[in-house]
Amino acid sequence: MRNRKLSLAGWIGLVALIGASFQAAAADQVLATVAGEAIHAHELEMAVASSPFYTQFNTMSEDEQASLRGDMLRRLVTGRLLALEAKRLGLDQTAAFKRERDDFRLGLLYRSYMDRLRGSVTLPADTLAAMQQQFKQDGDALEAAKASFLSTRFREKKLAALRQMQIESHLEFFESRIRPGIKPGTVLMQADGLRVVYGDLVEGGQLQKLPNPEWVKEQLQNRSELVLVASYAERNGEQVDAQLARYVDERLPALMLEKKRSEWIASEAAMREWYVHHPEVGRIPASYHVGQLVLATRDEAEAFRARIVKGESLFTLAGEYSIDPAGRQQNGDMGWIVEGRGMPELQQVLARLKDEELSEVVPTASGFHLLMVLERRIGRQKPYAEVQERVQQMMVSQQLPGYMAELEKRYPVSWSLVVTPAAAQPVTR
Amino acid sequence: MRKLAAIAFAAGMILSCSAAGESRHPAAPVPPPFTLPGVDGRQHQLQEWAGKVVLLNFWASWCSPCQTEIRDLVAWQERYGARGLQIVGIGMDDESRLRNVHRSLGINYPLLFASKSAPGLAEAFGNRTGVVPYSVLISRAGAVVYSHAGVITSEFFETQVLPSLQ
Repeated sequence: MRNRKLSLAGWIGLVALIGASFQAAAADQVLATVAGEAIHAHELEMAVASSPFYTQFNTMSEDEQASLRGDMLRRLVTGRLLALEAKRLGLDQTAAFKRERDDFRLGLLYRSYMDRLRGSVTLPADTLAAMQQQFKQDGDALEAAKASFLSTRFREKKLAALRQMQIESHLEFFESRIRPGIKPGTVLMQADGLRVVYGDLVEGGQLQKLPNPEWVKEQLQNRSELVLVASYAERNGEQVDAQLARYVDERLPALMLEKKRSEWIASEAAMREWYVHHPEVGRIPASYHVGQLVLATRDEAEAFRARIVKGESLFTLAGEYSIDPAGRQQNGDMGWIVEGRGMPELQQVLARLKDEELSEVVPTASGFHLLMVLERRIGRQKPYAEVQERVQQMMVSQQLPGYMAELEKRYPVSWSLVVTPAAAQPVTR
Repeated sequence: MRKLAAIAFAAGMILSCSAAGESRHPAAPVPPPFTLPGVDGRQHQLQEWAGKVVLLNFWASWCSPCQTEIRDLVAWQERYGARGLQIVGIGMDDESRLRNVHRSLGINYPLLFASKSAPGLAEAFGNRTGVVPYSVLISRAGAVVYSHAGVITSEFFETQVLPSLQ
């Protein structure tokens, strides 16, 4: 194992260098620090385990897993840098973010309470015994019966708990106040130490026109249940601080990136202008389904061309005589060849050939080719509307490395990577 | 019909209920014979584990619930192996991917490959829908006593598998 200190700018090169050898480390191993704050191996493993590709990750080879771990670690460091900058700029102190965080906290408390309640629902022994007797060898039927019983019992228990909470907290609804002229501060639910106002239900209560009152009532019921249960969960000592902190850590980088995106991309006109100068982003190349016979000499190629023109099949001849082993194996069917890839000499000919027209003899370094286009897909340039998101991503990705280098000057990054001997070579920068 | 009966049964006890799930095809009481290559490079037959309680677990590398279940299977094999539990994994897809999952999850019981040599094995064990994970419990006497489509929960293991170890 060697410890290395590198700038973030050098990290991408480092990942490429050691990507195939960055194996899982002990849980408490420090992999990197950002402004003195450590990123441990267990955090990386958690990030990998919670990623959408985790199932696929386990099916990968060790080299592929090592490469992906390197990429995930780089993302973690980038996230930390963005979060630190977001805090420095006070993005975690805005009213909108505080509301978002508070709502998330309510949701955590609610879920925590309900999980506990669900866990308290049990299947009576005599009921279980009766079910087992009924579905002796049928596991699925037994599971379905048990799940159905528990689910119903949970619903009953939940309703009873909610009713009890409403009584204890003296909860009262004021649905008659849901009418035109309602203000953001209009109280629609009140209980001991709790209340729900119209502004809690619609974004700041700023809608010009009152939405469907039934919709508002439904939102009121949902919000009231949320705050009521959350208050009981809090009173019962449910702890959600760690989950909330993780949520904030994940949201701040996104907020920071959103802020920078709006700075880097001043307007949609700028995006359109960028696309004009980078049309390759929206280019779908033409492609050709090609038949091919390759021969060693021009004379042979001319002779075979004459046979094909007289009616013999290029494909039958290619399967027997082509000097290209792959082509011979596939009876001359070369599959789809994309414009811009492969030998330029062949590409030029393919672009000019009509469908099912036999080419003249085309000399290349590989031999003398006879080509035929069986079918083709026309290339096209995507309109701006189809590539808008891609353009935005590209514009951001152009700015990001420079910005991350700036952040790294403000928040020093150091790397302590577990490297196998095979890859422990000096890093040149 | 059995599923409907289960729902009706539960409904009878709690007045109202609902349930959803897949149909089930009970396995044959006598397990069909097989010889399959294992991750260890050897050929394996069910008779190797005669006298043990065998839990055959059919799975595939692309199946996320299968991977979740395997973590529990590894723990149960570790804990109850000495009492005669023998879990046997039967992989149903690409061998190299199955081998990688075997390494990544530290599978501590035999893993056999059935995709090429015995593609119809799961069906022969009663899994006519092809759903994975799918597990079959074989008693010490060598009879199929239970089959289960879907993830084996802790509760299921405790109520259906553990009693077989007595």
